Amino acid sequence: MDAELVVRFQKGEETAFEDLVHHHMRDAYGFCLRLTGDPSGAEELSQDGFVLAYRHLKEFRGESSFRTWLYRILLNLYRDRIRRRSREEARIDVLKRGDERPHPARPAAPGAGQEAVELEEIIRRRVAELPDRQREVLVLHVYQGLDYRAIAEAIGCSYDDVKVNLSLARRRLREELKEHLS
Amino acid sequence: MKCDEIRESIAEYHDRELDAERAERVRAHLAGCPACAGELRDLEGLETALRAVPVRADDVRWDGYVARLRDRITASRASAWKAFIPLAAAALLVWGFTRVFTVENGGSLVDRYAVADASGRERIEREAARLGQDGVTALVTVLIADPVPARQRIAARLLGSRMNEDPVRRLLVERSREVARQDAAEVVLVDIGFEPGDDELVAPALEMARSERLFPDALRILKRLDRGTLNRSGHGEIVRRLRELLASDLPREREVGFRIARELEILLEDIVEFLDVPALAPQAREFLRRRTGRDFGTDKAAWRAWFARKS
Repeated sequence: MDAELVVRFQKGEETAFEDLVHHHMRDAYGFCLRLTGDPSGAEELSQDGFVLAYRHLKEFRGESSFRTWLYRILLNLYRDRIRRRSREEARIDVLKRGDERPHPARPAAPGAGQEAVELEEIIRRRVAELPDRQREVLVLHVYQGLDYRAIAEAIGCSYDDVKVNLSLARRRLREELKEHLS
Repeated sequence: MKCDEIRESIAEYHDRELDAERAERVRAHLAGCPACAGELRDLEGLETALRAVPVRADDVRWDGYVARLRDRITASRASAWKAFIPLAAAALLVWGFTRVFTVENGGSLVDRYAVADASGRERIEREAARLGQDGVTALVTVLIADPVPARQRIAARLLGSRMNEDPVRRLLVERSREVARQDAAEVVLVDIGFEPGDDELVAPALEMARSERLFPDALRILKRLDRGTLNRSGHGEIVRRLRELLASDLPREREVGFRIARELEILLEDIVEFLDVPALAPQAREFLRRRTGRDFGTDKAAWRAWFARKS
């Protein structure tokens, strides 16, 4: 489906890109939000990603899926922004944003109690505190549903790097969330 | 299979990354081993808790998302003209240098090299080795900024013998910074596979890394190349050349290779070989411990055995 839309766009059918956006905008936004922890920043990041994808889709060689390619663009944009600010500053931003959202920042899901909402906040924060590479791998795997090979393509690392980083992220989260998960 | 081998594979089993045969072996072991089955349950518990955290998509005004994007794409088309101005200036610069170069040498070395036979190429390489400042500057500019990958590759080859010269290295760094500044808005594209000839830049960057003073710049370039294209040509070339450095008889070469491998966080297995080099052992051990989550101290055999089991 995506591949066909890409080909149609490459042949000059502009509306095919809009279809691609419709297919991927929620997914891309969700991914950016998990990375940044900031809703308005996530929207801007996802839109910037689509603008870059639009401008360079004609050069896309189809060596990965469109979705993986889009993730790669988003990750690079995100890293570029992080580089511009200091990494530490960005991390503090994410944590502060967490602090600025008193629980419950939004209504709990039907049937979910206060405890569940608090646990969600704790998990969000622990994920945000992971080292960059571990967080990227975890988010792509758990929330975006990519397999190891696709993650390696999106991040630009080896299959083994994915395995190691995912394992480290899980180990750390298991340790930190031990008392909440038991 | 033993429990510790199974535990190495539980995450991959859970993530459906194992082939059918290995998955079956893990499944059979789990059926008869409560401890390992408990490990799997813990992992499933964590995964369930993580997946239960919803994304806060309720803040997005989805109805206007595509319209806002359309506006931004239109705006980016308009600003493409502005982006063209520095690029045009760069092209003019390249043209200018090429002209100087042409006058000085009676023809562009790069273009002549492209069509020369073997003996002609040798002659041109000798000419390149004698080039003055203007000629070298022209070659560096082609290497960094020429839009034609084949020309970049030829420039890299012709500059190859002069990479040890400080002025050449300085020029390379200055030019790459200049281009990076011009391309600031597009810099991310370099990372997603639109920079041709990445692998040709690896050798010059590694040459630069031999100088303590230029090491940070070399590392910056190598990181960019390593995380480069989807087809990973830059990464492949870095790995190949780093392996050569790490296998060198010269301690200085090995040290440079180790530093780069550590900074780029690649070649885990090769780092094991430095565990018995007193000056590097503590760093090597810490690097391996951090990247693998394991610690076999400086026991090279234990590390090797672990990597062998993993592969």
